[in-house]
Amino acid sequence: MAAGKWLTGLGLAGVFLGVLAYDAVSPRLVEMGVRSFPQSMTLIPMLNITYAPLAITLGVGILVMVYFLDQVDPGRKLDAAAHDDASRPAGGGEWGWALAGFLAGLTILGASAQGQYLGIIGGFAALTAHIANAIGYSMQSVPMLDDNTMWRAAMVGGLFPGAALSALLSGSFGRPAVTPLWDRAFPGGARSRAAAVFTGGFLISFGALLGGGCTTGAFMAGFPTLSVGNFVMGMTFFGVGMMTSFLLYWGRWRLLAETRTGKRLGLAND
Amino acid sequence: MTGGLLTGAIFGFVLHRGGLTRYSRIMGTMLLKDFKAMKFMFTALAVAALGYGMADLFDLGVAPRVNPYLGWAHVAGGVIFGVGMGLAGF
Repeated sequence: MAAGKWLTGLGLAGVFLGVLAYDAVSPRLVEMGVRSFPQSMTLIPMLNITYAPLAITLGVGILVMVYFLDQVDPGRKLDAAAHDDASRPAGGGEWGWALAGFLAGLTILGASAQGQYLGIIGGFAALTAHIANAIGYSMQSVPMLDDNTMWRAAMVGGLFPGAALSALLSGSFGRPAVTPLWDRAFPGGARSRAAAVFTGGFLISFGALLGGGCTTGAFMAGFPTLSVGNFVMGMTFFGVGMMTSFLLYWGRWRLLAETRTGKRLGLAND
Repeated sequence: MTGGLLTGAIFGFVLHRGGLTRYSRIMGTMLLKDFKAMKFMFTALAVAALGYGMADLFDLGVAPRVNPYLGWAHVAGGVIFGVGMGLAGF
């Protein structure tokens, strides 16, 4: 249990370090040719129609696609096989994708209704900037601290109590340190997992700040805005993420299914 | 600030309760063995798109902030982010 929190701390350390590394290189990105001057580019002028019909078409189209994804989802068989006490803790089990996805969509809209934007790594950058400012250091990549950066820093601060409340309610607080699938797929146990969590945290925050968004900011909240930059970023990171995962699990595709059903893996122990 | 705290708490709660903080859920989607995380993300995206579209249509004043285009930074950042995502599973 203690080791689980230690791993989370290491992941967060990686994320904060990525923010600082990005901050150090950010002024040179334009002259290095990596980053062009920010310009507004969405699908709207490209297709020469107004926003509303395009956004609604996108929303309906995606929902139709999700329906077909659900029909062919191989994970449903795994969930049915693993269905037991592990996936249904006393306080209620994992929510389905439809309910959780709907509520996440509403949260994105809620952030916009407050005049803000939901992006996790951007929030981490704002939080780092506020902490840095408190100890007398000013970040180059977040030059202005105002109500907006405060909102984003507070949002990131809220994530953890929110997730912890869910863990408490669903009786899955204090999960094992290393997820069983990792333990089975890779040698080294907590040590290799710690290295992956730290490196992953670093790459994720550095990459997200460089490419203008994370899974939330560039994909879930970014695609609906029809931003071309977010489309490029989202498609690149999902493509590369899948390639990385396939390489790591090369020739061992069955591990996931075996662990999920054999260990009766659920919200409480994964 | 209270709004931010509350928004983050709701989002954190939903992510955890939806199983999106589970390693095997993320790897399931990355290895195309379990689409739950994918279905969750696309549903959130679609709900947001429909909401923004409706808000625009009926002038409700809920407009998204649009992220700018930064050229090759999206590809470079995407590659780095993707490696981290596949490695750590979050």
